[in-house]
Amino acid sequence: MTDDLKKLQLRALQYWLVDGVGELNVGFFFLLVAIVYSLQESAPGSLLSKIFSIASVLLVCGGAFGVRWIIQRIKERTTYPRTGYIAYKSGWKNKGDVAIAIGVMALFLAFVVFTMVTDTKLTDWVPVVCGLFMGAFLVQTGYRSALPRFYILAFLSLLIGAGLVASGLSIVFSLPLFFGLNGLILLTSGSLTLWNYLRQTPAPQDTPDEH
Amino acid sequence: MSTDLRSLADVDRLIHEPSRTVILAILAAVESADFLYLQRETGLTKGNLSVHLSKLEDAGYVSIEKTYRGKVPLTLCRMTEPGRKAFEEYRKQLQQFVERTS
Repeated sequence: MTDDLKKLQLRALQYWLVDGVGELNVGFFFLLVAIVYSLQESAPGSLLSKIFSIASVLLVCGGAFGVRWIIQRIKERTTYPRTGYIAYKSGWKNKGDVAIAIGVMALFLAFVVFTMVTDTKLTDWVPVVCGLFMGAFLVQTGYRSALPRFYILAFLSLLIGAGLVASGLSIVFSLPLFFGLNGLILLTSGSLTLWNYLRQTPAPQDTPDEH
Repeated sequence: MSTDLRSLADVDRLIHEPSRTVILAILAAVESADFLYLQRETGLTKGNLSVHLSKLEDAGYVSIEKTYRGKVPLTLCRMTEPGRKAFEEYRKQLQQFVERTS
């Protein structure tokens, strides 16, 4: 019985990710970042480049707050009418979350020390660092939700970051490529998850509340 | 009656009903959940779920808020602090019983 209850609680924690809407939004956001960054670098020093550099800053700042808001609005139309609504507790209560956050900080510090000691140009390593950060976030998501697809996404993110550094491409190309490829992967994963979710859960015909 | 059985007899009878145990287990994991989510997860009919929620609300274990999401009525259920303590106590008692008897 205790195991069944734990499964129910785990399903509640997985619920935010059950429809793939989060991945779709983040994937779309990454693609936008890749496009704006590419346009910004297409003609360095021009007025258009300056406009796009402002746009990229606004996009990153707005995206941090905006993506979650957009996800909620989409879920209100697709997920909540079908399978209900859950609000989650906030805060750093999970030991696993804290361990991963400390791990990411340690990796970042190790990276800074490594670049200082070996006199490596920091910009050369940006894609792999982005891959590490994104990978860590995805591993954390996979660990919390026990959804294996996030471990695959984490591996792919790290692979893309490492591959771009190994390719020796300039950061002007490698960074938009990193975000573009990861955006496409997240869009694919999100689309497949959403398609599967909508196929399994048709919209209810009547209003849910009877209490 | 043996000590083991007496410890089981002491558990909170209101929680020791499978449907209500499931409702409280879900609410213990989240901040709040709506009626539809609870209905789908418990597999109860609307009427049955409503009765169980009313019992839990009367006991002060669950608070129920009726609101709207756009034009759609929304019944939000959340576990109260006494509910959280009672559920935690229930889990401990059940676990102790299982440990003693296995």
